[in-house]
Amino acid sequence: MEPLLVFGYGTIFAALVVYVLHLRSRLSEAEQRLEDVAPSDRDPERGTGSGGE
Amino acid sequence: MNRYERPVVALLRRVFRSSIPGYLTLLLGLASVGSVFGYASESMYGVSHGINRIAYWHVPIAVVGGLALTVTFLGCVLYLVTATRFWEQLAHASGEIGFVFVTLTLVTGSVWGRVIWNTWWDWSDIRLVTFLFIWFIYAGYLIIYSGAGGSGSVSRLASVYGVVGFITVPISYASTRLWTARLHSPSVGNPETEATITASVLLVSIAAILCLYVYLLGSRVRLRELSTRVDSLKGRSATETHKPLGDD
Repeated sequence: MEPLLVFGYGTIFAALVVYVLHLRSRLSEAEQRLEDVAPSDRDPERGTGSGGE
Repeated sequence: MNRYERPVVALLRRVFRSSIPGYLTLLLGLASVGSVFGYASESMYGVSHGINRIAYWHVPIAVVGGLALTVTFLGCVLYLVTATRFWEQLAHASGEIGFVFVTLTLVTGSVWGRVIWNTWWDWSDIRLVTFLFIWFIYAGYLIIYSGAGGSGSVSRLASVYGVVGFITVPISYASTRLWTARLHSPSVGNPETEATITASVLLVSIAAILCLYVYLLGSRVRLRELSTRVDSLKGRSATETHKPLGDD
């Protein structure tokens, strides 16, 4: 197979995999931070967290 | 958020939370790779060479990249008009993905050109130069945005930049029709150019990249929403912690 073709597709797949993994790791990190912060925001009388927009 | 925006935002949020785009990306991506290396034509523009197979991902990435930057433009306009945070988050998320796609288009195009045109880059080709302009414009947009840190004025500045900078996108995509390109020539609707690309494979690849874009956009918007929520919760709990005890 043409080496430059392997390089081209290799670059595409490597970049996309790295970007997806980076996003997933930041997402789980943000979800964890939200879990850590959210309990302190709960209203004990209503027992609810803060809503979205 | 006004009553016209609410259903649109709700629909987009539902699409972004769905796992369907992720599964479709996997399915269509495998189908695309299988067909590209299986039966797609490697003869294009009168040249038969294995490197031509890069076109089946180079073209879809360029097309979806252009779409991503159009979404950024629309998001910036809607944010400036309505001041709804969701549009700003959508614009920034799409701009980041568009930037990744533009970078990959430049890399794969360069690799393709090295074999077919015998050069990695040609400054006299209008398509190449205007596409590089897009890369710099959106690098600038992401840099300005990264300095915003949730500040409304910087976000608005980045959005104005996103609206003005978008002018480079249609210019680049139409450049081969507006000016005479040395290397690129318009292939759609041009009887003089015979691309002989396998249309079915190209369509499957475009569908795969489009699903990937929706999946990435959903993840990126959700990440922004979560970060904004965490920051606002932290800010609120800090305010409550430092609240004065009242009258003693």
